[in-house]
Amino acid sequence: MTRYLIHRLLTFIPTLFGISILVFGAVRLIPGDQIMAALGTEAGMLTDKQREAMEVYYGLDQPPIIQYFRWLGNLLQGDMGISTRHGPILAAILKRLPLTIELAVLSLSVALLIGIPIGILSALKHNSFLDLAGRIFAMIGLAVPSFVLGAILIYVLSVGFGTLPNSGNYTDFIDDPLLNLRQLAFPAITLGTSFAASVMRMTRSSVLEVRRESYVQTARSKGLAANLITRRHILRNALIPVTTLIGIEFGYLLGGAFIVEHLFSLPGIGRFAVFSISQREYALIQGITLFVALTFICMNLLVDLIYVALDPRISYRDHN
Amino acid sequence: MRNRSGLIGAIIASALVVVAILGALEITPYPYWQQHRLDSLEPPGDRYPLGADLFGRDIASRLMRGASNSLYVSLLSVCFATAVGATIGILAGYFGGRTDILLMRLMDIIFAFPGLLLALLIVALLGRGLNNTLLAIGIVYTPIFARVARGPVLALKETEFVLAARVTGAGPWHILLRHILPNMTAPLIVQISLGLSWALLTESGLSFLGLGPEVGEPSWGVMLSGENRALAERAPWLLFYPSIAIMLGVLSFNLLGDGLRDVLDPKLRGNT
Repeated sequence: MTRYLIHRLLTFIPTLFGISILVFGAVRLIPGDQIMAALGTEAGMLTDKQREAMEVYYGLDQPPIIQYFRWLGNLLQGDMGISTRHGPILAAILKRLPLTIELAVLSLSVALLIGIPIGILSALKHNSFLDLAGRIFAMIGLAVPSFVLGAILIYVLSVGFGTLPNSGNYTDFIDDPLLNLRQLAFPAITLGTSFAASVMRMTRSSVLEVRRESYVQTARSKGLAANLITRRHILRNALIPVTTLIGIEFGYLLGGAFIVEHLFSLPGIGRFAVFSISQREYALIQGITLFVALTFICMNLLVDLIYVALDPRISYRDHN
Repeated sequence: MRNRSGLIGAIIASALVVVAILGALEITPYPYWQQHRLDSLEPPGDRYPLGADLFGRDIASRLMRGASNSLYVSLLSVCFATAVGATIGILAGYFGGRTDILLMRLMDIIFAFPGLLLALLIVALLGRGLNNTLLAIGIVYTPIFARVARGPVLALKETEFVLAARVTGAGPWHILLRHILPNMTAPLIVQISLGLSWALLTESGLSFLGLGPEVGEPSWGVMLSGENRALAERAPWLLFYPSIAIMLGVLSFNLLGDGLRDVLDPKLRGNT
């Protein structure tokens, strides 16, 4: 276990470096330079003297490798740079983080509440009508993109009930929990449904696989009650791979809510990213990308560790 | 049962490809760009079977043109990801050692970004347009193909027929092309089919967010955004048909992929 942990952390650090190099390099590839990145189109209005001063400020007169380490050094101190419109970038991101986290948690709850029961039923009633219905749900859930489902929900609500899910400004949970949940319910259903489909598929295939395991056969031949076998032997083991999926999907939800936040006009990180792209605020794009990628790989690391803790059968002693 | 659904997937996918080819050749009921201002928001009927949009443009023609754009990006991005990813995976798996570590670490770094975010970043840097979108999606999916290709190579390079070929003096390129590649096409074919559905979803998502084809060119995602979305309450057909098109596309590639997996890899039959 300790060896695996060390190995996992040792591969984690080069990946972190790789991500930082990629994000740093990407912004250097854009037409223009870091001044353009910070000021956007307004950079064209600078006088020669102003531009020179800014070049020195950003260290553009230094070789790229020194620029990279300076940028990395600032980053390690929590300084992602400053956006002309939004001030310090890290603060701007953190301001929008709670909403994105809340949306991710709610969507995940929707996904689990729908996906796990359907997946278990589908597998326990293998090849029955229920199974077929569950599989059709999963197939459709995977094929309907969030913006289609969201658009349908908005249409049904506005035409059928004369209301919009997010009319008016977004309200924080602390200010008015009920209004907040009402505003987030439809975005969460939209985002959660396609994840419910993958959770369902994973649960189903995992339960089917565990049902064939020899320890389940043994329990059955011992004459244990079917309910007990399902609860103690099948579900406990079958839900372990589902945990991994949940962890990875949560990472995706944190970084992948662009479309739903955009669709429902929710001021989270996803909408911020889309906004910064449309405004060509490269420094912001750089900051958000880095932040989301870091969150994503940290989640993956966490999932791996939880996986080890959860499953007594897994030992990483032989890993590498 | 599974193969029947695979067949259904293949039939729908082929039909969409035919529609896309007609759209690309502009063999459509009306030119997709032609505006008929007097027919603004005309409901589906005799003149416009699927209705008209705000500018009186025929939705059916735009869907056909959209099919060609959406499928062009999806197909070519998956071709790109397969060509680059499989080459990287094969080289990493076959040569092992430092080559393996270097190439796969690079793939891990790309894989560390959520797909849509990386695609957004690349399109934001390169600018919108069909070719930039396909490059972005291609790069995002490259690591998956590298991983899918690397696994079988690791197993195949230790098989007797490969060792025999090596003993007879065959060079690495000969072994890779003649002995290893033909034996690992099954997982790649399955992945290509599933990859097409992700690529179509990503393309529609990017288009929906305004980072799709050049202005004026329709794609299924573009048709679901902007003024069409705002007008959906008055003219629901604006959103209905593009939504159906995307779902059919994704569903057909998924069914095809699952069907192919059942045929090519009997071990997994019925599990998903």
